[in-house]
Amino acid sequence: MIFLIQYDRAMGRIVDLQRFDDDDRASAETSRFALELANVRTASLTEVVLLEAASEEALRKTHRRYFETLEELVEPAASGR
Amino acid sequence: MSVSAFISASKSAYEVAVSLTYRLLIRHGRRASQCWFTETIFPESSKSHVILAVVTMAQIDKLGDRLRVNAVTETDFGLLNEYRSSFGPSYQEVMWVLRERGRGHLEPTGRFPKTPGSIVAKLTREPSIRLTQIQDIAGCRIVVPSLQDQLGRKMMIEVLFTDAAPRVVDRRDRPSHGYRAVHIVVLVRGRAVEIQLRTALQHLWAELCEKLSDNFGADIKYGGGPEKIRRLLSTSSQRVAEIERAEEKLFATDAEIDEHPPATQTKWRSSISDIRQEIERARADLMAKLRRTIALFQRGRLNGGIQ
Repeated sequence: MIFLIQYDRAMGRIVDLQRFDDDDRASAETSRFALELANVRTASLTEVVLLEAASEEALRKTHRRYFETLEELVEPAASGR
Repeated sequence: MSVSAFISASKSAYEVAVSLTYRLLIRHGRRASQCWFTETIFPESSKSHVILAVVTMAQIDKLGDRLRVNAVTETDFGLLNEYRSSFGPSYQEVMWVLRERGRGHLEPTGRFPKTPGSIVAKLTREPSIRLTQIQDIAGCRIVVPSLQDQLGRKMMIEVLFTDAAPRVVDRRDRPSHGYRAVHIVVLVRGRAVEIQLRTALQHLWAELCEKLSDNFGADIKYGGGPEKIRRLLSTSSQRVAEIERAEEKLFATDAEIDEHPPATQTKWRSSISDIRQEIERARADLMAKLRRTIALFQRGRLNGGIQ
């Protein structure tokens, strides 16, 4: 599964998350480029990232920063994730 | 009819042009990976316009120079998009090999070629690096529970990519601003793809560092930022290294236990149990310290900043 994430670094949270099927790679890339171009035109600092994982659960494990707050990252069970 | 109008007139004409030019370039001694055709469609334009050109690595490095001084046009931005897109087939092949040939032991999350912001940041941070020298434009990440898993997966990846000149960058003993992990750069279809291999603790540290950078300033990732944050990252990186060294010792002791005389094995088992408890305590202490310090940081931020 492919995930197009718009992440507000200053706020530390996702502002939009779009999901694409694996065979819809071209649409995902086109959407990403449109968002990046819009960011360039408006000088926006929102991070646009396109990631691919077996599931959203797997993505949440390898890219926790997008989904969790600073406090959540260091919760008691976090060291083994 | 102009050349560009002719080329954009039909897909078949475009394909013919690509084929002929590639043949010409290769005949003149250029490898296919040193150049490629670029075709960028700007989705938001009222009239889609197409950039069609043969791009060489020298041109890409000139683009990198313009990006470094922030003098980019939208055409440059499109060219950068095309350059990173040229990593797509290599990236997809690496992901396929990891998933299909890794037999469930390698569960990568792939990052489609790097964002323009990250590329520009790297070029600015490292003035001597050329755009074509950046190794992590395309990459993926694998997180495993322990150091032993990391060692096993590293060996597996090196075997899977034997023909792709795997280059291991081991940042565990020589961390980069506290960052510890194993990176394996493979060369597939003429493009470098970086595989990040992290243990759960190394990953926790890296995510924490990224998140602190989001909250308190991007230079934290590269050794900058407030002293208290730098100290936290430095000491916690060292603590993670110590815990992992203890885990390594535990694994080695456990593996050798059968080689000891039966009469002393009970003693060795007791020793292993002690090491295991020590590791658990060290992990718990680390997490408690991180929680306390981060709570202080957050309060400091609300009260006007951290020194």
